[in-house]
Amino acid sequence: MNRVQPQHLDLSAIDWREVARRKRRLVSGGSWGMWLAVAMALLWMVPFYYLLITIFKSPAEFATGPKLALPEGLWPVVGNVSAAWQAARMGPAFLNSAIYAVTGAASAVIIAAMAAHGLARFDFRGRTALFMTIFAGTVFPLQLYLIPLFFSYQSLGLIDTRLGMILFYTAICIPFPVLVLRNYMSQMSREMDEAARMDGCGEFRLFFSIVLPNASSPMLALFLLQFTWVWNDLLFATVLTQSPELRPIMPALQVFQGGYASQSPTVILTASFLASLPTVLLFLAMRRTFMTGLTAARN
Amino acid sequence: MAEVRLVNLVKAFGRQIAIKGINLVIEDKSFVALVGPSGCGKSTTLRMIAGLETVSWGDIRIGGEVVNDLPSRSRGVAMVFQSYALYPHMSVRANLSFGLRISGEPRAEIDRRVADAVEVLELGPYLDRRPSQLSGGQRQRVAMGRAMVREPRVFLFDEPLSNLDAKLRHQMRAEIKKLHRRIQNTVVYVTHDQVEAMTMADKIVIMRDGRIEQVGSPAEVFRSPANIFVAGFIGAPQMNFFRGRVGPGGAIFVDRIGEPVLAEPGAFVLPAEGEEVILGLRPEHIVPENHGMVPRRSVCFKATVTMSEALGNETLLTAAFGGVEFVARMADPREVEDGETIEFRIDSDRIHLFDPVTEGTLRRVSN
Ligand SMILES: Nc1ncnc2c1ncn2[C@@H]1O[C@H](COP(=O)(O)OP(=O)(O)OP(=O)(O)O)[C@@H](O)[C@H]1O
Ligand SMILES: [Mg+2]
Repeated sequence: MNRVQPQHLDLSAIDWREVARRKRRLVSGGSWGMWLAVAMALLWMVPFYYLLITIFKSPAEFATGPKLALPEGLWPVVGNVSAAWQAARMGPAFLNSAIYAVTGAASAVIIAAMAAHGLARFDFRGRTALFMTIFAGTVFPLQLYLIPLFFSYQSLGLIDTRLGMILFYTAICIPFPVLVLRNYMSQMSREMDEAARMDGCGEFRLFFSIVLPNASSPMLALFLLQFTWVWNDLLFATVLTQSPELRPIMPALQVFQGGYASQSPTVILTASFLASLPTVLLFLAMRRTFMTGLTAARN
Repeated sequence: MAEVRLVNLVKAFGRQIAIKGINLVIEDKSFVALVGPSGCGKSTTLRMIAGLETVSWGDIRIGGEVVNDLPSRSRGVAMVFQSYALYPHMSVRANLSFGLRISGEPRAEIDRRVADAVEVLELGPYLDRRPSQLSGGQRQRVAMGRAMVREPRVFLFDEPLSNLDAKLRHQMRAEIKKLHRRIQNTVVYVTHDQVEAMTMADKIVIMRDGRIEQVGSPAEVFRSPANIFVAGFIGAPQMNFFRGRVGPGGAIFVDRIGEPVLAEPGAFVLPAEGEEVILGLRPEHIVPENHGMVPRRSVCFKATVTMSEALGNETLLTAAFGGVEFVARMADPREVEDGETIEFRIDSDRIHLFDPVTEGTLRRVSN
């Protein structure tokens, strides 16, 4: 038998430009799609551009100048902010929104996690039926609940109360996290639960010391989603609250609407910008956790 | 004292009966391996001892006490899982001490036991890492440590090494054995790897389909398997089986083997002349001519090689005669062509005989 020696490639013979070209050939696939995507993205940006330039224009500048032109200076924004803040009484409205969104979303996600743990781990009769019942809540359009909710809140004395708002937001935010977390938890290692049980955990400790910490990233992502939903809710907040001290930010913006609204579009846009700032900042701050949480939930 | 005793143990999943009445005594301080094909009920048995599955019927006694209705944590058992099942969000140190912390052991005692385990298992450098930052073998050791610190009366292992590569498995085998010698508690070890069972256990329990087929020391189950199933299960490559017939004077005739095989006198209880028997021969006892020692008493026959697998130090020959295939071990191997006809020798002192109907051994019970 003749010996075959392994042949070594001379690594200095590699042409790195060719390497890059090969990679590009595989990845790009054709520039047509790329340009189309860029065009769509630009189109998508137009409203944001409009918003961003307008809040830096004084009402007069906005009324006379071309709408898409860049602002002449940055100072008018101060006037806009203060006008918006006062007109919509944004201070208390922000506080209310924060209370509803944080307590509603947080308690919903924690309750959902408990429910999901039960649905994922305990074999009991009617488990699927129970899950379906919870999930059915998300199948119908939410507007359907509006009128029954209004009347039952009225008879319970929950209309126009903080408690009523928190209860509603908590309840409405539970089903979707249950669905996501149940799937996530049923894929968590059962042996880990069993190990914890052998280590002496009871049900509650198992849930709080073992299950919760391991489900924290999807829970955080769900919290963000539900927080945003509550923050952006206009319909239910408008119907279930009347007094300005209890109203969250979205219905507070309604002062700009209607017959005797006399504010300039610059102020209105500034107000909307301010109202959406917290959710945007929250997403930016937690985007990494959010993304890992979502992929974790999907896997 | 922690003898484990399974009495008429049954496990039903709905109407399907997975464990069909097991009786087994696992002596204090012994190392017992449960082996058997996939789905035979090894894990289920272990999980019942652990308290992770309810006992459908019968009793489990640990140290004389019936534990059927005791929760896991009060049974004095600890388990090492196949997937290790470490807590991913805790450091190695927290993983080790978790159980002790929730049972409210004093700080000093926790520290002592953790330090002990860390020393034995050489986990010192990894104490502050998360499980995801450890290799498979290191995770395995943490899982063992977590079981160890609880100072259980009984250690349960469910295929603990099956996720490791061959070399690491070999090393961990030795470590587990060493650990057992050192802490001297009862071990029940589930595996489907018979090498693990043979090398580590004092006693092997071979299961099939929810029942125990044989219990014995590694040497016993290898040398005198109780039936065809055990004979085929223990030993790799598997034992070969041939149909034979009892002739005059206890000689066994196999079709196309010219001479009769003369069993060791008095070793077997043979059926009447003319009855069928199953002749079992391990591959190492069918010796290709000129390879390996010539047996003291032997019978020759010719067969055609259909396949040869060279393993380096030996070659496994699959050969056939008259439609019967068998595997033989060629020590000190030479190259063999497929289709080559070779002379083989059967070692008459190493044959096994079984009843074709009951599949039980015909070996005379010594004593
Ligand atoms: N939770 C369960 N529900 C229903 N049947 C089960 C359950 N767990 C195990 N079984 C059945 O019980 C039998 C024994 O399973 P077990 O897990 O004990 O096998 P095993 O010997 O450990 O096999 P393997 O070597 O593949 O791990 C199998 O037929 C299995 O299908
Ligand atoms: Mg198993």
